[in-house]
Amino acid sequence: MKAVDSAVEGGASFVGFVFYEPSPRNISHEKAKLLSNRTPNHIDKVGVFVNPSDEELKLVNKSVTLSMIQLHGSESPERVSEVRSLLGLPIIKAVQIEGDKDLLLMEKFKNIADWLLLDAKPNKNSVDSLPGGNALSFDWNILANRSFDFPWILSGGLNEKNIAEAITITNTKNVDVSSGVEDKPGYKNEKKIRNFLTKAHYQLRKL
Amino acid sequence: MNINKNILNPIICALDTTDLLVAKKLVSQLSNTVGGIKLGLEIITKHGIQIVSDFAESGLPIFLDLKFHDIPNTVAAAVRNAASLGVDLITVHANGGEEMLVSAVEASREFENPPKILAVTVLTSLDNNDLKNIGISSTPTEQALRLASLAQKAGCDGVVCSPREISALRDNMGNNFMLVVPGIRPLGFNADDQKRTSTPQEALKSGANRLVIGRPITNSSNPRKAAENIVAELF
Repeated sequence: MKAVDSAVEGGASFVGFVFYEPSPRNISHEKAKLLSNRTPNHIDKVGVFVNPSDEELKLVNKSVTLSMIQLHGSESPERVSEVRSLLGLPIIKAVQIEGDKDLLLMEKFKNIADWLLLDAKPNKNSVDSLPGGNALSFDWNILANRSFDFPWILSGGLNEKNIAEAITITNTKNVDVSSGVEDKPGYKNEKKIRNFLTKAHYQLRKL
Repeated sequence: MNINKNILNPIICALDTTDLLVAKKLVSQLSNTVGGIKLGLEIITKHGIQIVSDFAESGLPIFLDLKFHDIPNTVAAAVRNAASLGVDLITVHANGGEEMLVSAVEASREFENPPKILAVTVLTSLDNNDLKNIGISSTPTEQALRLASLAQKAGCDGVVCSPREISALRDNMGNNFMLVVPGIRPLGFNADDQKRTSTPQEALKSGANRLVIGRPITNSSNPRKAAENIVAELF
């Protein structure tokens, strides 16, 4: 609850609730409902899912007020499109980036998802790897001097120490953070949230 | 400490000294640590405007804080002269009125890399009572907001404002307007003669773009270290 309050107070534009059981950040529908109701209307409430079934999506959407859906698994463009019409909500599709060639993935989704979230690829050799939230960054220089004709969000291992550089190199207008404002997976630190937001807002203004 | 040079660094060090050697030494110590240096009336009236070019060679952005306030033509000429010295930020008094502000902005735009024109709203040394004594019944914040709107309308890039006006100005002026804030004291420093103070973190959080910090850096026995400590908290 305090994490949501810090994000709201710090001027976040989106808050995300993870509905994915293997994740240490997974929350119950009841808790998500409380948090969502606590979040002012001007802030988007994003339900984060990994390869969800229709039933799962409908169940969550019935009990929790969400304004956007984030798909963080291996959903195909067709599936993204289905989920979008199933719930009638805008979609953020996470795309995992390792090298230049992964930018082609974005082309597949850009006309289907409302936003693309560019995240790092999880470490294949680690058994603990999650689809996201592994505190890993990709090489931001892949994005340097590029411009995209769709809305996108920079994600992957961002924290208060590297956020200024990440924004400067990639020229992103939107950033996503989870592990970077935690003491350990699933445990958000309010001070880290506030510091992250302050630094991100400052660099994003570009003045 | 290694900071990517392109990252916006909000700290501008005010060279509050009339000793040119001290000032030059400070600047050489501060290179790559702060995001700019401020030259004000103190040092310019002592050594002349030509010293600006010497400081410009340091590569640090220069905030020329001479607070121009005169008839429009005169201010436009002063802005042209300042811009040709290679400064990045120039202050004018918003109290000079809209036409004067427009003249300043237009003069700056004649340059390839135009310096930003910042309007000074209410001096940080003035409080409610001081304003009343010069015939202004508004609070400092109300007055700052009024003058900032005038400055934005005239095309100014931003304003100089006090720490406690940051939030209100950011809410009212939008994100594309620069807020340059003096009167910032890192925790543990006395307020000196600036009546409205705040910490760097608080100021950035409220929406400041640049923080002007003088004595906490310049009076330190190790100015570089002092500046690094302040910047380290922000990056």
